[in-house]
Amino acid sequence: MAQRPRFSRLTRVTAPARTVAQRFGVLLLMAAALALLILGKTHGEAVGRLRALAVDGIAPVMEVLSTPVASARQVITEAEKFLATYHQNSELRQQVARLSQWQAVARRLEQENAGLRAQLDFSTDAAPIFITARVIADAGGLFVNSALINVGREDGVRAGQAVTTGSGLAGRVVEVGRRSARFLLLIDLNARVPVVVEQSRHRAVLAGDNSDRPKLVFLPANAKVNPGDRVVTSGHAGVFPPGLPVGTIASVTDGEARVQPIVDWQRLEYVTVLRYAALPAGGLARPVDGD
Amino acid sequence: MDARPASKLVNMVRVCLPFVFTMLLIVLGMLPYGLPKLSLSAPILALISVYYWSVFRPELMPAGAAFLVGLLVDVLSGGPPGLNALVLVLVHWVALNQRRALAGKSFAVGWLGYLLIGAGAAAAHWLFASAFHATLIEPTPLVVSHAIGTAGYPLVALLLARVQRLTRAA
Repeated sequence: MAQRPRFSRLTRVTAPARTVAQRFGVLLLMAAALALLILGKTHGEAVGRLRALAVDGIAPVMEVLSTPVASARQVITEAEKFLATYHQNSELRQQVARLSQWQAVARRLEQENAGLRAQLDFSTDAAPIFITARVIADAGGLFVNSALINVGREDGVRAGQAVTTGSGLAGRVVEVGRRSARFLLLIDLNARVPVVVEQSRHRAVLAGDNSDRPKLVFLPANAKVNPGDRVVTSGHAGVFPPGLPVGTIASVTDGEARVQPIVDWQRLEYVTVLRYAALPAGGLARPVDGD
Repeated sequence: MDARPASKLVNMVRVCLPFVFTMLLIVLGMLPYGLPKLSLSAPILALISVYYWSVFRPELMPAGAAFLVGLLVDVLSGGPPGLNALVLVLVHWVALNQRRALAGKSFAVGWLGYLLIGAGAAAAHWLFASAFHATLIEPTPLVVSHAIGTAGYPLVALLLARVQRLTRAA
């Protein structure tokens, strides 16, 4: 009888065993992923907190790696600006002429408004506190539109706060870690923002659906909206301060209005988180002596 | 077998290289470049990488590694938790089972394999995401992303082939 190498019998036994283990391994991993999905559905908040914890761990790496990217983008932006200087100059001159008239109007209205408010004893909303942040990850999943920023709980960021750029509303904070946070862009499937059409004062909710142009839902049936109308936050539900620019109506087809957001998603570098606490509902009208 | 600690260490690095490199690709893919949406996004880079290693060096990309890669995408992207993990383990499993048809053939065969398995992954992704959100999700961004992924596959595969050369001794 020829002598076989000693390990051949061992491999004959272990090889199928290993295959079985691998098969079961794949099944187990799939089950684990499915369980995570179900947990994410039923206990979304707890899973979100866990994720925020994990992001906190990765955030420093992302922050370091994104710094050269931010610098490079800045260089490109500056170069673009430089090349466009001549053209922009004449445009800006015209704009300055137009806006200085508006400034005069705004000054007059501001004084008038202040006077009227004083007569009415009108209490103003709490002024928001600004937290400036840098975008450290553009976490565009295939169906998600969110981004990570380098501020968190320690900086005063809380879930639900509005995230804005210089031009207008960008999104809402959804997950908060110690020194990092995630915000959901307006265009995300889960984004809902109470808005008002500036001209007609019709209220609606801006609902993202992963397209570039979110749609207006819960718009009154008789509402008249036209392309070009400005849409701003209404401040209802007390999450966002009222009057933040959101976008303009881009199209109205079959009663469905779509909004072109004012924020340029490709220029999302620095953002401002608004720490804003709305006055409790009815808080304005309550008599001083209480009940 | 060389049992010197230094060469053991080198060997370990080689074994871990595909996994570490995939994780790095994802992190780099997530940086805020400000590019239009028409670019190779991190989930697609992860998909290409898991497919590539599962076909060409499956022992260096076991199912557990594919799961972890998916988990990192899920953590960073903020989508339904576990969705990318599930899809990537599936991709690993299918690619592993189709290895005989794909590995050691011409580059075009590998590309075709990615086209088919990637399309399956897209369908699975859409199905699970729609089930999670309990609504039929607009599939256009996904289709566009995967089309770009398929077009960009040669580029990424070329890079991964470079990395594969480094793992040869493992």
